[in-house]
Amino acid sequence: MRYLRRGVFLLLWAAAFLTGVHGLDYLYVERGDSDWGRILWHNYYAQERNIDCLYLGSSHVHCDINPFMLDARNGKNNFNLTSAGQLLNGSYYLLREADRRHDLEHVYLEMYYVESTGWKGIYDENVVNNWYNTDYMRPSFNKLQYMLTMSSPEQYAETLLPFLRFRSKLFDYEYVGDMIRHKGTEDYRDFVVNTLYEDGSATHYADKGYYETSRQLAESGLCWTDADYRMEEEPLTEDAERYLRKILEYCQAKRIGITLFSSPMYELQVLSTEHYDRYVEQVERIAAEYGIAYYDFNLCREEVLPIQKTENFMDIGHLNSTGAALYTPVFWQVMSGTAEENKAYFYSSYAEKLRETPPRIYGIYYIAAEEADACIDAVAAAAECEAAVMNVDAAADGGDMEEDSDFRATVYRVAANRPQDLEYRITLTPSADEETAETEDAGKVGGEPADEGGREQAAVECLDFSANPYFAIPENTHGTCTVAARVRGQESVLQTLEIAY
Amino acid sequence: MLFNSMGFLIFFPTVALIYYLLPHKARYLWLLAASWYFYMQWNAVYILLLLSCTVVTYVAGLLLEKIKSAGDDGTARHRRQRVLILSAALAVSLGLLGFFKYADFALLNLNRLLSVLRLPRFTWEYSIVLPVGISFYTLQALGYLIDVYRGDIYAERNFFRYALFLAFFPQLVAGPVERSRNLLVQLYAPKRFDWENLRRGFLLMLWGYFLKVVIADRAAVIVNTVYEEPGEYAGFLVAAATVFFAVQIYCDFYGYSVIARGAARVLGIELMDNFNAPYFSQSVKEFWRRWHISLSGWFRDYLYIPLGGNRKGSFRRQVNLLTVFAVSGLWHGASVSYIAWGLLNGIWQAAEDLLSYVKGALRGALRRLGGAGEAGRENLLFCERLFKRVLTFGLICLAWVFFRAGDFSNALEMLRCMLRFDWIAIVDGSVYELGVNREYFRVLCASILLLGCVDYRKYRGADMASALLRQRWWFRLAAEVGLVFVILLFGCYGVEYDTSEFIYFQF
Repeated sequence: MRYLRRGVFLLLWAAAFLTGVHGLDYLYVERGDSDWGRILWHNYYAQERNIDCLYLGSSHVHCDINPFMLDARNGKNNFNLTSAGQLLNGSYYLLREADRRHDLEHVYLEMYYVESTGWKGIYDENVVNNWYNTDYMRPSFNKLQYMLTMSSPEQYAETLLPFLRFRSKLFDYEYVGDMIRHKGTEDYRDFVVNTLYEDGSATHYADKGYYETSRQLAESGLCWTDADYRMEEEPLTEDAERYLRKILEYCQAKRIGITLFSSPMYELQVLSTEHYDRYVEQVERIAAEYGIAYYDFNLCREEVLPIQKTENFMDIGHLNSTGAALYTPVFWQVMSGTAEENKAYFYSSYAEKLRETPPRIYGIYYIAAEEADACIDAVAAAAECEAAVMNVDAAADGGDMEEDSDFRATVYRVAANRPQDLEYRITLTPSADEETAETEDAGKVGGEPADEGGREQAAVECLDFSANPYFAIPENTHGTCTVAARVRGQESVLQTLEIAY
Repeated sequence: MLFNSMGFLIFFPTVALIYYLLPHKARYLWLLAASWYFYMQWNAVYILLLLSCTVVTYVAGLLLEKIKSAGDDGTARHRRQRVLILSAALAVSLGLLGFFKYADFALLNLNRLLSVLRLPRFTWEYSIVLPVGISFYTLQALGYLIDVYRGDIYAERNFFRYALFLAFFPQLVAGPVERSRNLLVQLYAPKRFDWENLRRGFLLMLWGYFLKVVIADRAAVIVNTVYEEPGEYAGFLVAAATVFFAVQIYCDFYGYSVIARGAARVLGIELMDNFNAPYFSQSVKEFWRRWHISLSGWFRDYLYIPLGGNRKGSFRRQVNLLTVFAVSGLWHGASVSYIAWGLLNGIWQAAEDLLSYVKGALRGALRRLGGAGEAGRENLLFCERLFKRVLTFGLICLAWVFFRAGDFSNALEMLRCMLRFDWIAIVDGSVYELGVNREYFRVLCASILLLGCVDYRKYRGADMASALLRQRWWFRLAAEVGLVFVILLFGCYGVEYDTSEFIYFQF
C-alpha cells in the first residue's frame, strides 16, 4: 500500500509538472517561421498511407520539391520531412523516426552546402532550427538522442522545456495576450498557414511538407549578404561527414534506397562560394564509396532545367512554386533514370558549367572583413566615392566638405560566371532620405530600391568598366547600386542590374 | 562541474542510481570513483594534489596510531616522534596550500618590501591556478590528523574509505568542512535506499537551487554592477549593493551547502548544517556561531583553543580572537582586504565583549523606562532585539565591503562613496538601472522575503523541510512543483547567463 501511495504521488507530481509546462508553453512559446514545425509534424503523424519516398534536408527541399507532383508521377506517397537549417545530424534522427513508423522505400537526402560545411560555424548555432522538429516529435528514445546530440549541455534545459527560451518575455503581458489571441484562432487550431503579402504574393502550407509560395526574387535583391563563406578544400565538417556516413550505412543496413542531391540555388549564391566544385567532389567521392548517386542540380544544363531566372525564385536560395513546378519533374526524371542516362543532363563540374555558359552577371555578394583587406583598392575607391558624395552634398548646401576620418566601407564582389571575360561599371546612387530608407525594408541590402522611399542624390561612379570585380559601399548608407557589365573589348553593355543597398 | 550545471543534473542521478544498485561493499568505491571524476572535471591534473594530501595524511595517521599503540604513549621519545610526524604532515599539507594559494601574494609583498629597501626584485614567470577546494580538503585532512594525534579517533586503515572521506563530492569543493567523527563513521554504515532520505534530499536540493539561481545569481548582477566600478555610484546605491552582497554571499554559500546536504542525504549520508539563520543574530559573536559553522568550529577546535582560547585572561582572549579571525580572513583569500575583513569581524567581537557592561546598563535603563507592565516589557524586548539585529547586520555588511571589493583601496573607496548619501536614489528608480529590471527586482525582493521567513522559523528552532514533509500530499506536491517552476522561470542559468560559479569555490 505504501509503495502504491508513493507511486501515485510520483505520477501526480509528473502530471502537475507537465501540466505546468504545457500551460507555460501555451502562454509563451512563439513558433515563428509560420509554425512550420508544428504543422509539419501534425501533418506527418496524420499520414494514413505509408510514406514510400522520404525527402530530408533543408528548407530548399520544402520550397523546391512538390510532393503532389511526385505522387502523380511515381504513384507513391512522397513526403518532405524537411526543416529550415536541417543539419545532417538532424536528418539522421529524422530518418530513424520515419523508419520507425513507415516502410520506407527510398530516401532522398538533400546536401545543401550551408548545412554541412563550416559556413558561419553553423554546427554551433543551429540548435534553434532543430527545435522545430524536437518540439513536436512524439516521445521516443530516438528523439531524446536527437535532442542531446544537437544541443550543448547549456542548451539542454531550453531544448527540453520550450517555454524557457522565452524567459525574456516573462513579464511582457502584451506578448502573452498576443499569444493567447493567436493560439485561439481557428487557423492555428486547424494547422492552417496562409500568409498574404502587400505585393499580392502569398505563401501556404500545402501538406506533405510542401511550402507553396508565389513570392518572387526581385532584381534589386540580388545581393547575397550572408556570403562570408568560401569553399575550402574538403569542406564537409567532421560532424557532417560522420552523420552522412551514418545515414548511408543506416539505409544500406535497412535496405532502404538512398540518393543524394542538391537543389538548384540562384547562381549568385553558388558563385559566392568561389570553389563550389570542392564541395561537389567531396560529396561525390563519399557517395561513390557507398555505390550511390549524387546529383547536384546546380550543375544541371540550362536546356534541361531553365531555372536561372528571378521569377523562379523566392529568394537567393529557394524556388517559388513556379520554380518548383519546373524543377520537380526534372528532379523525378533524373531520380528515375540511370546514372548513365543522367550524365547527359549535367556538366561534369561547376567550373565546366561556368565555362560553357555565355557571360552573365548574377548580382553582388559580400566580402568579409578579413578578405576585404585584400581588396584595399576597392575600399580606397569607395572612400573616393563617398568623398564625391559629400562634395555633392556640400555643394548643394553651399558649405565646405569636412573630412570624415572614420570612413568604413563594406566590400562587395560582382558575381559573374566568366569574370575573366567581363568588365564592370559600378555606380552608386545614394538615397538622400536615409531615414525613410532605414525604416522600410527597402533600405536594407537586398530589399527594394531606395528610390521609392525618397529623393535620390546624384550618382557616383566607383568603377568605370574595370576588370576589377571588387568595389566598396560606405557603411550605413543606402541607395541603388547599378552594375553594368560588358564583354572585354566591346563597347556595348551586355547586362545591367540595379541592386538596392 | 558546478551544482547548477546541466552536467551535474545528469551526473548526480546517475551516481545515485548506480550507488543503490551496487552491493554495499562496493558502494564507497563507486562514490570515490565518482568523486574523483567530479573533481577532475575542473582540472584533471590537480587530482594529484588531492591524492598527495590524501596519501600524506593517511600515512601520517597510521604512523601516529602505530607509535601510540607501540609503547607507552607518555614517553618523551614517542611524544617527539608523534610531534615530528604531525608536524611533517602539517608542513606538507599546508605547504601545498601555501604554495598554490599564497605564493603570488607572498611574492608580491616581498617585492614591495624589496623595492622599499631598494633591493632587486624577484621575478616569477609562472601563473598559479588555485586548485578548486584545496582550502577545504586540506582543513578536513588536518582536522582528521589532529584528532588522531589527540587520540580522539582511531586512524582509518582503509585507504579508499579515507580517500572518500576527503573527496566525497557533495562537499569536496566548498565544504562543509566535515569532521571525521561525523562523516568517516557514516561511510562504514550500510545504506539502504530510503524513501524518506530521497524526499528530504530532493527538497533540500530544490531549496539550495532556489537560493543559488533565483536569489544569489540575480543579486550578483546588482552587486557586480556597483562593485566593478568603484567610485561610480554613491550613497544609497552602494549601501543597497552591499546589502545585496550580504544576501548574495549567504544564498550562494548556503545554497551550495544545502545542495551538498541534499545530495549527500539522497545517498544516505548526513552532512552538518553549515548555516543557521545567521542574519537574525543579535551579536557578531552569535553571527559567527551561525555562519559557516563547520569552518568556525574548525578554527575554534584546532586554532583558538590550542592558542589558549579564553582560559588565559581577557587580553590573551582578545588577541587569540583577532588571530583566529585574521587567519580566517587569510584562509578566504590571499589579499589584504580579506585579512581586513577577518580582522574587522574580530574587532567587532572584541568590542562587543568590552562593551558588554555598557550594554547591560543600557538594557536596565531601557527596561525601567518601559515600565513594569508585561506588554511594555515585551515591546522593549522586541525593540532591543530588532536594534541588535539591525546593528549586527550593519556591522557585518560593513565588513563585507572589504570582502567584496577585492582590493583594500577599492574597499575604502566604496566606503567613502557610501557616505555620499543621495536620498533621491531611493525613490527615483536608480536601483532598477543596476542590471535588474523592475519586475525581476520585485521577484528578487519577494524571494528574499521568503528566505527571511524560512530563516526566522529556523532561528526559532523549526525545521522547514520537516514541517513541509509533514503536510498533506497535495500541499507538498504544490510546494515542490511550484518551487521547481520558480527556479526554472526566475533563475539565472542557461545560454543567456554566464553560469555563476559558487563564490566559495575560489577559496
